[in-house]
Amino acid sequence: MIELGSIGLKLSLVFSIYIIIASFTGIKNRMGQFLVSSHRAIYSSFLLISLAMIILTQALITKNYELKYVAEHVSNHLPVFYAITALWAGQSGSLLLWVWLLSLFGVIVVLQNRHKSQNQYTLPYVNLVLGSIQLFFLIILVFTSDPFEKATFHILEGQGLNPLLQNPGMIFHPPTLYLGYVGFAIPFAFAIAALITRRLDNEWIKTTRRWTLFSWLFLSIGILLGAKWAYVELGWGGYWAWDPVENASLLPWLTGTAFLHSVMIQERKDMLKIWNMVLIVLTFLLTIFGTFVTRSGIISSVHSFGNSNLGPLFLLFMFWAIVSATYLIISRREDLRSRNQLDSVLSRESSFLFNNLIFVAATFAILWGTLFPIISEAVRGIKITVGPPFFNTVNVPIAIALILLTGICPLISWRKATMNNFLRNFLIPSAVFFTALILLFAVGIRKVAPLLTFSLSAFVLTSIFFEFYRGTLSRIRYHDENIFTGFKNLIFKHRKRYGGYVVHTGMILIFIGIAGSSSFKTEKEKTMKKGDTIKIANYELTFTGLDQYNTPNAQVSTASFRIKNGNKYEGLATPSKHYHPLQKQTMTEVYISSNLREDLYLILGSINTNGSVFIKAEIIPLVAWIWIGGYILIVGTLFAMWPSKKKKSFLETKPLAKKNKEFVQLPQV
Amino acid sequence: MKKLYPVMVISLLLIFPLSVIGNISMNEVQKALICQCSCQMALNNCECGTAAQMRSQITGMINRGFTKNQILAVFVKQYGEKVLSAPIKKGFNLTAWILPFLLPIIAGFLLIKGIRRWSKKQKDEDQSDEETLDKKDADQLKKELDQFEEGEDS
Repeated sequence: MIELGSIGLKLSLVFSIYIIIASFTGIKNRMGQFLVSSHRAIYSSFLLISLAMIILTQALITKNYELKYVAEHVSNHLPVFYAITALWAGQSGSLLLWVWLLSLFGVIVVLQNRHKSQNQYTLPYVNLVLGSIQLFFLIILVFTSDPFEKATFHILEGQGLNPLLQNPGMIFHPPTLYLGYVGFAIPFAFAIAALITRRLDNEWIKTTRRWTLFSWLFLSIGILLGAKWAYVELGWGGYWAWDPVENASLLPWLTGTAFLHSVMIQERKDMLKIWNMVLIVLTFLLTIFGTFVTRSGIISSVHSFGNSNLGPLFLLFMFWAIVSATYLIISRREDLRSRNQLDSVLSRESSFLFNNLIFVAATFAILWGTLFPIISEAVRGIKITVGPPFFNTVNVPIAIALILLTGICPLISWRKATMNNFLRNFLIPSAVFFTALILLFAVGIRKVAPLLTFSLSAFVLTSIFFEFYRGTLSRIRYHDENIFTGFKNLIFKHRKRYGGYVVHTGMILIFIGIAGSSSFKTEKEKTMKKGDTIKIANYELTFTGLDQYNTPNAQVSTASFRIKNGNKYEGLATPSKHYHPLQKQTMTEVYISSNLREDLYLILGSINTNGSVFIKAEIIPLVAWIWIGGYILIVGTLFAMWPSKKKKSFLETKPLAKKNKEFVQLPQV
Repeated sequence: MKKLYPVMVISLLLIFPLSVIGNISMNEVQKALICQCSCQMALNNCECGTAAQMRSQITGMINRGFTKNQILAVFVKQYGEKVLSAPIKKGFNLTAWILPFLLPIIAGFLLIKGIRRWSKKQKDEDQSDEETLDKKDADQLKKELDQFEEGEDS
């Protein structure tokens, strides 16, 4: 059975080579049957990789220690759902997930586009690019990091899953992040295909719009789930610790966000074609960089589990991708050059350009900080660390500028805004900004960063509210609709635009949560005997005793505290310590009591022999808004990407090919 | 309205203090250090034995009246520069601090210059186009463009 998985992977490698050869031969010799055959190879490789996935998952569930990967990542008492998550706990398993998602997306791309006349020329090249990426990962899986490698000796108990990974976050965080990472390969492949075929109009952007949003959405969800996990599980350093692996996930998100904004200029003005190509190539490369950082161990990180020999292979692949993409962009620069110009400095187009500048600046700042320890060691020969103080100093001004632009963008007209129109639109949001600033200052907020973040957030939320208000008003006035129908028609007829505003609202709430929680956190530490009380903010915590029990995986010690908030008793707080004998590791499980205003965060520091405990209590304000903002961001993105009912155009109603036949018209390059 | 903006800007400048002087606190020092247990986390985020030991060292030094810089110097002597959570702002390390600000400023400057040049070119083209339109047609065109913009998606 296990052999079948290994054979499946090897065969899928052969099929990937065939995808490349068949696509290339089909294109070069104008032979349609090769292109159809390449589609079949894509389906087959997906089925073979799926088979390998199923077999490895089954080996993990049945604790088949014949496999080295299983022996290293599960143990006899590990619950089934954690045994399944072990699939992406280790290097070869997570790379298998990567390539399985890629092969699945490859199949979807073929199914979506094989009948579309507008993509008949680009699809073979898309398959060629996706096949090459798939081949790279399969080479690693077959030759360097084989998940089906046999264990050298027979064992009765595996090493078990790292206790840090035994958290519900492990079920959803890595797969969602990977959906985002791998998803960006699709717009990248279409962009490269557009470059090769010189079909550099907006078609590739239209075709991949939902793929880009899908990838961006899942990358966002993955990042947020990771933040939530790191927040509830002590040992990751809080919801955002500026760890290299965390940074690596943020980098493609930033360039992807810049891309989502700048493609609007291309669609509207037929401009920024080169820039959009650069952004999508950069986004794809950064997803590979993220996998490289996580897996190579080149940069020390709390998220890297051991070094590997994959670094040079990833570097080679990235080098190949950079050289190929750069060559294509340079050789097609004349075709990519825009014939249009901007109308004015004061226009929404310009504000989008500044928005792109800020996203790229943030990308550079984070990438630079992440790589600086390596650069410094190479130049000075001294090891240094670049941690949160650096990233906060550098990124806070960038984030504030970004919030400001989020508010300004909707207030400026497309093409050209007159100064009077600009000032009129700014009047109320600016007044709200200054009122918020003065009020916040009056209530005692003196720190510049949160003061500006909160006031600018008020500015942005007001400007977004007025966008909805003005739009609804205009529908009531010009379409004779009532307020509800007007509002409904406004947002449903302009999903992209108003979905975008909802996403902006979510982002603003996230910024508010970050500013509040990072600027106004208070904490207290105390060694407590039974009956002792610790006071922090409005809370009074009384230590009522220790409890010890065993679970299949760990020995648990729980300290109980009676919580009194003001005059109200709010039950028991139970922070705990879990000792995992198999891994000889102790995990600290925090207690969190959350409301919209603040979180009470209790950490059980240590348990002394006399029964006293060392406790750390923290009050973290506004942290719930980060998660609420995340939900709103998801809703907004789904709303924006949801297909709208549109009347079919004349061309669409007259099919250019029979539905039951795949397009085999041959591309001309 | 235009007259209000300078007043708003001046009041903004008055509200912000030019510098913020803080007292040394345990948390402040912890944030400036990395736990040396190989977790790579800031000391205030780590709960391991090494972190506890480093914290008691800091508490001792604060009690003896050490300044933040003196405490950090002791740790650098003990563990090397890697114990600091951010690069020291001198020598080659300055590039780490300067480039993330310098490059966007230069890029922003070039962007403004580029947009001005593009829009100037566009203006010239618009002017030559307008010469062929009489006032009535130009007004009609402007009106239609405005209507088109109002109903358009972004």
